Amino acid sequence: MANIKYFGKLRTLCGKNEDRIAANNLTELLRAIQKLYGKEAKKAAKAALITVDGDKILSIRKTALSDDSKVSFYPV
Amino acid sequence: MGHPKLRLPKYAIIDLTSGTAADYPISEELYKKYIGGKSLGSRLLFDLAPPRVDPLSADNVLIVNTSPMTGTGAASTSRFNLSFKNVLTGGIATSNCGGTFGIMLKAAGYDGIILKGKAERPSYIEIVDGAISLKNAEHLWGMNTEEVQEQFEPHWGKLVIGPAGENLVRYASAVSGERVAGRCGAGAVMGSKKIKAIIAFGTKKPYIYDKEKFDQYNKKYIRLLRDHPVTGEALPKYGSAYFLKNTNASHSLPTKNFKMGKYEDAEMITGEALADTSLTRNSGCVSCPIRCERRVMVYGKEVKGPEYETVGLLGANILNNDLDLISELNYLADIYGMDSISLGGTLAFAMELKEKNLADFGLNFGSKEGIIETIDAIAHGVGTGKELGQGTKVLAEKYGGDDFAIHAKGLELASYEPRTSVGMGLGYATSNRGGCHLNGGYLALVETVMLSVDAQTPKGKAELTVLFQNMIEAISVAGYCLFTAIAVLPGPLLKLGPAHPVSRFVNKILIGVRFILGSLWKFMPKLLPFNMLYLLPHSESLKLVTGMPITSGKFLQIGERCFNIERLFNLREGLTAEDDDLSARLTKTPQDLDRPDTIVPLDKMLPKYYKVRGWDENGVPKKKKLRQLGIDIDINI
Repeated sequence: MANIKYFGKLRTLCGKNEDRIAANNLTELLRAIQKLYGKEAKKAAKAALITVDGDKILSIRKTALSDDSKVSFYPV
Repeated sequence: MGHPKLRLPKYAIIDLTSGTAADYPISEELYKKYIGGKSLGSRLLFDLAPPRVDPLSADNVLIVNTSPMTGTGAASTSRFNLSFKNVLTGGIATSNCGGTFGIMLKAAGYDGIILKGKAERPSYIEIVDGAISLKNAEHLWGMNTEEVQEQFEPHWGKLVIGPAGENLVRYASAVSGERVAGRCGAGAVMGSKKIKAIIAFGTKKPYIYDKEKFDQYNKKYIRLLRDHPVTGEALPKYGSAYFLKNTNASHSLPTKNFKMGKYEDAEMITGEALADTSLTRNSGCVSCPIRCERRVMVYGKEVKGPEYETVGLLGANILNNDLDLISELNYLADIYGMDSISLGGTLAFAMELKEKNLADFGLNFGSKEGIIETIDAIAHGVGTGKELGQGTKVLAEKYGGDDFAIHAKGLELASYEPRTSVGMGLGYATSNRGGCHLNGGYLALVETVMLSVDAQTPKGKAELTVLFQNMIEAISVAGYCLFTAIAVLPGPLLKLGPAHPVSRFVNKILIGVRFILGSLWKFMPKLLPFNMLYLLPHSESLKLVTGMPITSGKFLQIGERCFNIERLFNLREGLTAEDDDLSARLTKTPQDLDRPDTIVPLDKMLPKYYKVRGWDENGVPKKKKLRQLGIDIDINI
């Protein structure tokens, strides 16, 4: 279960600040966000500055997640 | 024959030694070339300050001036400038401020004032509706910047110093309202001249050549700023500290005296954290729609909150994860009148000196103990504070540690770790006023903060640095806040996010077009003979205010001319290409030991940079370049 933090618009769309979601990689996580909170939320998440364990992610497809990964979605 | 409606700026020269003032005429030629603000200020300083003058002697000259846009009501244009010989570097100093002083100086009938000499006792200058007087300020001496401003009418424009300026702290600032002309020691120069305050008031309206068109254009410009994801949303909501999570995520947040670029507690001090915990409301400078200012509670009252640079340097750089303490330190720096960037850099250096057993100032990384007392001691020039008030470079000369003394030319670096933003590193090294991100071209914006241009490659960085340095100079000369430069980056692109394929393509393109960027400067005015709202909105505004036929190309050339006159001043004062350098920590020690490319490869970038600038291999502007820019100075270096 990755630990997720939402900021900005995504926080409003998801209705929460923090989350725990099971996902093996960022693509799966974005899919889960769409399932849980809708298409708009996935769109906002994709357009966010995404950090995994504090590092900026420039390629969603190549990013694997572990059980204790900390993922943050910030407005750009 | 001159332009029929060209209105020349009005300047006064005030001799503090004799207590007299006179008008100082600005010729049409000078105005057309240098416009105002830091450009005209630097040129006047070149002409009026004696070569190799001691910055804290009576002979140094202090110019406080406005720009054509100041006070016009255009978006983000309350700015004014201070030019003087830099206390920390011995080169050029320009320091910009968003307080109301500039607006009121213009309303009082002056576009700029030139101070020379030294008052015989603590004094303040009063400028009211064209009348200038020098008054006794002995009763104000010793007051902090807040107290001294309370002694004057609330609606008057004020520029004051605190105890740090009086005690010649080399990074003392000058303060207007709660806005600060922070860098380079402007407060110390005022203190050395025994000037506690300059106050201005008047009823004169600023000159606008074509008011109707100007108002229409300004409305469009405000809309552009409000629609932009950064100037319209992120900055109003989170303040400039919203940059922090970007720099941290790119390993470009100075941490532990720039030893690292990533702070493990960064989430506790981001702009988002500040908005969640301490923010009471946002605010902003006069006429600014961005409203990036934070309001927070300190000592039971609402005051200006910390900006990104302060959070970085008084937070991560000294391993302080306490946002309330950062707000408190920021407030103390403001009321004592000192630059929070240089203060943070100096404290971090002192902490590392202690860690390495080179000197003990009673300060430790990650410990709050003694910090507030030390800042008080610095401002009042007592105990260990006396030495710490000299800044990093002087401390390194006395105690060693030159390889981790983080400054450029003597000015402490801003809050961007350049080993993971190498274009920013080149900018710091070549910035005329020293380790300044803004005068350095602020490539961190495109390398880490907004875009994600390859931050490690030296390729294209010389070309991009020159472009951004010239653009930022021009925006500042016009009188705009430099945050408006962010809106030059297309909003729709930023909205896609850094991981989007289009964003990644644009990042590559910016490096790919380096050959074109590098050759632009020879043809600039001819290349862009028009103005563009969505690319560089400032030039059309400047045209409508001044009545001069300014185009984007000419506008960028104004910036280039400004950068070159500053360089010439530095060369005359004895700075050389050897001073275009950074500490060994940044140029020789990789930030990540497993990645040898995480250094600033200055040796690879500097020769190219000089070439793009039209300077010789020693960093001296070639005669051809000076002719092209219409700079009539031959300094025979």
